[in-house]
Amino acid sequence: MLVTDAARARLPLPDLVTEAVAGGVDAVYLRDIALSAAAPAAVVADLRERIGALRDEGTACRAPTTCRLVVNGDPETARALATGLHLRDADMSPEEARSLLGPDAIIGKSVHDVAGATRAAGADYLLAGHVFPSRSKPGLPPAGLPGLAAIAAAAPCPVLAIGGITAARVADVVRAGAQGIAVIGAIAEADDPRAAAAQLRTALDAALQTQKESGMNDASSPTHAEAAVAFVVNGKPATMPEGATIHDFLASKKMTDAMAIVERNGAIVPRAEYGSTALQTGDQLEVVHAVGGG
Amino acid sequence: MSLAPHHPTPPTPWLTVHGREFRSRLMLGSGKYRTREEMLAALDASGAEIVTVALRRIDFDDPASRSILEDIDTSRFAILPNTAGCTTAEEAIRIARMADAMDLGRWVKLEVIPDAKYLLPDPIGTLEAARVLIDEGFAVLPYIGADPPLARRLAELGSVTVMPLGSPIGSGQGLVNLEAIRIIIEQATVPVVVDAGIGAPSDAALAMEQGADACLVNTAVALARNPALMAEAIAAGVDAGRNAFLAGRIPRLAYASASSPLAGVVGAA
Repeated sequence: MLVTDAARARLPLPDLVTEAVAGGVDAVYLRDIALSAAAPAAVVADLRERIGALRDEGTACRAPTTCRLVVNGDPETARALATGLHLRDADMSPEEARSLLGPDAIIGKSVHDVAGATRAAGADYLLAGHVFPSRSKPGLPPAGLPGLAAIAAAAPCPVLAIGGITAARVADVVRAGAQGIAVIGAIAEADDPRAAAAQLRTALDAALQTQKESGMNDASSPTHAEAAVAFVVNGKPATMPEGATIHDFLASKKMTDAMAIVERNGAIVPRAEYGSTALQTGDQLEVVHAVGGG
Repeated sequence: MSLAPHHPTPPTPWLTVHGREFRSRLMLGSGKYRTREEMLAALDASGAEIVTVALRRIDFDDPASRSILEDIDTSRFAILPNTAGCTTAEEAIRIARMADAMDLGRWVKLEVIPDAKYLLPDPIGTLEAARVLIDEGFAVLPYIGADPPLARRLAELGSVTVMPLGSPIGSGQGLVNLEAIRIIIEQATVPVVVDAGIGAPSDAALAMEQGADACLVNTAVALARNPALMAEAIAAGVDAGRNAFLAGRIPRLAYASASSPLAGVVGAA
């Protein structure tokens, strides 16, 4: 989920949302849209059209088949915009909103602790956080991974981790029980929001897959849950044990450092650093070599 | 002059890149060969000093996937990476930088080719990429259409050669662009390498007779029935053409000019 914050976005809202969805974001929380936009209905309609156009592009982007939009404010705003409703901690209960919007409406709620989670019956998802220190919540102590785990255990519905989430932290929050992530700055402040969203999507998919597999194998193979990093090499997913370096990866493919050129997240890695560059979950690697050419 | 068993290496270098001098006027591509052995035999027979390569993703699913640099003796041949496959300036710059990480010398055969049917290079993208790469200290050898003003612009930017195409890559059509190549050569302030379209030794000789500094050949050698023999033949064509250029071709006349004396013909009145 992308949470929008006009003050932190490098791109105009419609462009940012389009890029994020193209990169793999499947829900957007248009925070304060009813306050910040003169004509929120027009903004939402424009976004729907752009997101629809992305899907028509097909393979050019990673746009999911559905992208959910939610707004905050009162249920009437959500109804008027035909979006979901996101409730803040101090807002009405999800059950009350549900009684106003009906069973099909998407209703989410922000929670900061176990008590909040227990009051969230009726919600479709919770935003739990902030998990890590976050620019959105300066000075406030983060819930941390234990706090997130406690909220996830008490929650009546899926939990998205929010607050200081980066690609490298996705595996940790998923292990703590999150079923998704929500970010502001990780996409909005990125040089390339689409690439940033894609990196997060890759990391999340890989972490959820790992979580699923470790759940299935926990009983028979307790060592399977050993930490791993999930990344993408030449467009294909790959995993290595935590702490593995680029050299380790090449060696695992019976390649010497000398023949491979590695670009990691858009930056070329000097060959001398292959052995000291640890792979991170979400990394995008391009590994090339010389072939015959004219 | 003596006929050496292999082509004699001309004494003076025609190209100097980052202090390294090149004398062989035939550059060879390394693509399309049926086997590694045929490629190595052709490289050997060609007398080439510069061999071009491309950059591609490693296929980790294919255990046989290996770098061509494991096959070529890089102490003997200078390896010139190209940016084949790049359709924009941005892509070409990215590939050139990756190629630079191979430590083959900061040089690149710049190709920006958006057109898959004729593989004709994009002059604007090529110029843009050349500007960036030259600023970064690359020796740039741009592959271009036979466009004299573009060749001048690239030379002014600081390209170390210009490489106009004779005809589309791999087409073997020969020097379809001969007149334009002649103008490029006439105006050149950097070495001119005729690249692409050469199908036979006669094409290479014709290019060199015009005063081209070198030829780059790939398909004509790689896909010949006997690549090594064709490499040797084209090298001889290059040398023959070069020598002819140095020797000075006679002018073309509209009418005959008898080779034997006109005086003293038996039976003349």
